[in-house]
Amino acid sequence: MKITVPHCGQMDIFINALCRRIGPEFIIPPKTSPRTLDLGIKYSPESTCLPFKFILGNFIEALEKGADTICMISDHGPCRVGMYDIVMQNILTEMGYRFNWITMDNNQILRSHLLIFVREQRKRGVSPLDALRALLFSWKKMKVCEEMERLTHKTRPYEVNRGETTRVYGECLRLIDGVANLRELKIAREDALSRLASIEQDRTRHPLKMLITGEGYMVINPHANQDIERRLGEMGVEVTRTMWFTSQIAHATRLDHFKKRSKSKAIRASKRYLPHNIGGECNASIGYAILYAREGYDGVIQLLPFGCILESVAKNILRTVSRDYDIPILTFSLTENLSETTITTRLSAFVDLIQRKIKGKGK
Amino acid sequence: MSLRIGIPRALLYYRYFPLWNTFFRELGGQVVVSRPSTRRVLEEGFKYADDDVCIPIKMIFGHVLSIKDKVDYLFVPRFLSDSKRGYCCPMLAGLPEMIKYSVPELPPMLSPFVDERYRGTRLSKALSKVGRKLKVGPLRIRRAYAKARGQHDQFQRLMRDGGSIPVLINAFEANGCFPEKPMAEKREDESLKIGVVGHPYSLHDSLFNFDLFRRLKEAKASIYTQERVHLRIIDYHLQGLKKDIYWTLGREILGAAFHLLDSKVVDGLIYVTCFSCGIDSMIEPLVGFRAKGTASPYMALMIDEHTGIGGLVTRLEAFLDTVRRRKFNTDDGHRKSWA
Amino acid sequence: MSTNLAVINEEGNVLCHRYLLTHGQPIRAIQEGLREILSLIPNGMEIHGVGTTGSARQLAGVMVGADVVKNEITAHAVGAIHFFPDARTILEIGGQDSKIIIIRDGLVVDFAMNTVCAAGTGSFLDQQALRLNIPIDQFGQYALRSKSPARIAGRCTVFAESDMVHKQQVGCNLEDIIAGLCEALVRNYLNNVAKGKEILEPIIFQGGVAANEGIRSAFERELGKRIHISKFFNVMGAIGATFLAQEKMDGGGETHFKGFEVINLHCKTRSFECKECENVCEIVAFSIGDEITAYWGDRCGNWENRL
Repeated sequence: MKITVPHCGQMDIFINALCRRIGPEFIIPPKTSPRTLDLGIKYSPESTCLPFKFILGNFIEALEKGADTICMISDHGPCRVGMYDIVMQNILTEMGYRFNWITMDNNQILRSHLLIFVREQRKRGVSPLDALRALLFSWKKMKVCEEMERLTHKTRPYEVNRGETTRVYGECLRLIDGVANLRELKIAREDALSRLASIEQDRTRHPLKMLITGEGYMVINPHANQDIERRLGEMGVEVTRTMWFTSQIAHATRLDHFKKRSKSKAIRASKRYLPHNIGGECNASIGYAILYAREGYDGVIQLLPFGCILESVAKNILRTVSRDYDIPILTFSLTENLSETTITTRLSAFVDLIQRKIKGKGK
Repeated sequence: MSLRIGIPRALLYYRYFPLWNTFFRELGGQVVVSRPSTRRVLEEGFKYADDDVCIPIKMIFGHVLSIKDKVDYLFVPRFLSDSKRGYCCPMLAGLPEMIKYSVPELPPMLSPFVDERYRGTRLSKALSKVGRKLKVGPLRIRRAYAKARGQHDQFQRLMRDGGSIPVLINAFEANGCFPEKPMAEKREDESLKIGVVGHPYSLHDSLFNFDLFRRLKEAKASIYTQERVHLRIIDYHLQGLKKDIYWTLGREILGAAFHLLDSKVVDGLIYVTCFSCGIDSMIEPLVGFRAKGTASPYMALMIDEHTGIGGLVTRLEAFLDTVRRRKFNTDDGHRKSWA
Repeated sequence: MSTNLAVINEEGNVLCHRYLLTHGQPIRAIQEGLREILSLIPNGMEIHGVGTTGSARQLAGVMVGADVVKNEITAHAVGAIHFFPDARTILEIGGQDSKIIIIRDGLVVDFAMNTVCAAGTGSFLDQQALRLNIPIDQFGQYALRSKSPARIAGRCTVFAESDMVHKQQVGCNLEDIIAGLCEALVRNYLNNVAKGKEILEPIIFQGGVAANEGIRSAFERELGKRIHISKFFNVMGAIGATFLAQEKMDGGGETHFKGFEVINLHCKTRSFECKECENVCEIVAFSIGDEITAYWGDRCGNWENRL
């Protein structure tokens, strides 16, 4: 079995860790590039959302590389992602590919992801204990990666040499990806921390604080959002985003109810504006904006794919949230035409707007 | 109570008009439905609705604008799910808020929350909350709902027997009820049977559907819409998918389309889709794939704000030509699908 | 597309300004603009600071040695606020894009920009002027003479054109059609870029299209409010950049201005794909004569910091 998954954040590190320990062979799709998107656009129905097109592109490139099994999440609506599997299966079959498909039902993480996983491994002769140990190891790796990523958000606005944080972060990820057990992981973590700490910083700066929220795929994937976190960091903004691999799983298994800035809390906060949870990240996007506005953040950026049936509702309501909480909110509704100017000019104007607002208040 | 209750002629009005109209009238209210869609209504809607949303949503903004100053209450329910196993489009669940936060100077809104998957939030309970808000006694509310439900059930029956939604709406609005017998028009000179599927609030909106039904009638085609396909048949056709289609309307459209393509009940199938409809973007490709595997001619007609009538009419005529050619020259074993 | 230049003195008065059509050659346009500016400023005047803005702001910045490189939204706002300190809305329509900027208490609080669709931009009018064979600078006068503007479908330039053909066929006169076009553009702008924005007075209209009195009149009719136009309407971005440069240089330091000699230098840009990692960024290399003096376009900073 040669399994592949879509590119999503740093998920390859998780899958790599798992598959190197207990297999099967993991075919990483080539890094999402303009070619990926072109393939996705070419073979996707026109009105599908942008994440669909990226993911289809990933799958085509992985199948080209020899993958024979596709593993993809699904859910029970109302977001479209639950229908990706059946539509993509039809498209890929018509293109002539032969493959197996494993669906991981997001609504039943414990029952679906966990049990399927253990069962599949048992078929391959891996004991449940080893499978669970491998899972735990990979989870811990992801936690370390996320810790490093959060540090880059805090470091980048202060960096003296543009690009140093990004370069060092890349080294850290490679380091972490390479380790094979918990002991090595601990050492790698210390190493990564010290590398990040030794980035030359100018601590006299006063970075703005911004929240990035919105539809999950667009928030977590730099290839979909024009690398917005790096751009903002280099403009001197400390960013925080709401979509993390481990926090999504924690929320889905209901383990985050009491955490400080958890998704559950965000959904509760949104009820004032949207009294019922309508699904997807919609309520969370509204709620997070409220939670972070209360904490004194300077601005919020909402990302969504054009036509997103859930985030469009949030987009509308966030305008009122922006007024009520006096916090600027900028929305990017992204299409396939991801040109530089779409994002950079607006981002820099947004940062200016907030900086001048703060300067004005200070007078 | 002689309050004027405003109901925008858009979205779920096309599914529930007999129920809602009857309910509010039986409570003693005066029901004010916005006039049928026009270009003007749509353009007003453009001003307040976001770019991302589909035309039916923009349309309801336009309808709300056209009646908001003429009513005491605006009825815009919040539908999360309208059947035990499916969702509505999530924008319907967030609709009252989208309207509330974009359109200025609204009258008070009646926005009951409906989630048919759970007993406590079924339409009957939701409407009785509305009745209580309007200070109507519980007995009267129950009676009103029972009567409304009766009209709704009759509506379903009439549709399954071939009644067309616009005709039924007009009859109902004129008389306040349906005739006992179905109103299927029998035409002797019909040579073609064309299946038409799509979201009812696109398909039957007089502006949006560019008069599709009249054009089909003029082309001597009888029309077979998805409402004529029984739910059990829909379930049967979807069994093979091993996939839970979780949008109620999406499910109906898909099952009906499969039935119409496989069963030779119709000579050809048209799916009227709306640009930037999330649900259609996933359902239509599945119909398209299936159509390739059957003998039936199929066309997906996508309509958006920029659509010119000329282009649509040309495509419709070409499609009907193909259907006619195939029907009356029986040796054609070529499988094709049209887009 | 245009290349605009402006010079201000210490007191903040505009000494001179130039508006040139870029004709697809930004380097040549910048050099030509500088040459004309040089002939307009007093001999021996020293340049104490330079700011660049617009879609080619990086190229311009590298060519002249800018102290400030700013996006055009901020630049337009700063320029307009200088002349209209109470301004609360800026409507800006250029050849290829359009913007709206919302200002409260002298600060930008909101903005929107349209770069995707031509329907709300100057090119919409340019195309129709070409079709009707009427010079675009006379458009406004025709529109003002109209007694009853024709209603033209405006959402898309292509469909507007077919609608216009129809109107001509049924005998609408040219004035009414042109006025109808102006109204269509204004409607597009308001439904598109300006959607959801609170438009309060004073309203300032700038950008190349502000020259068209027909558009200004259409805005006033549609909004029911007065529209102000500065005499510097078509170079406001450049003026804004000069004030931003002044702000920066007030903080002390030497200017990076390279001098007017760049007018005669042979400048070139060349772009290539960097193959050093999977990002495959498009790098732009700027050279004077044979010597590469600047790079930009990289994500990692390796090229930008190379020189």
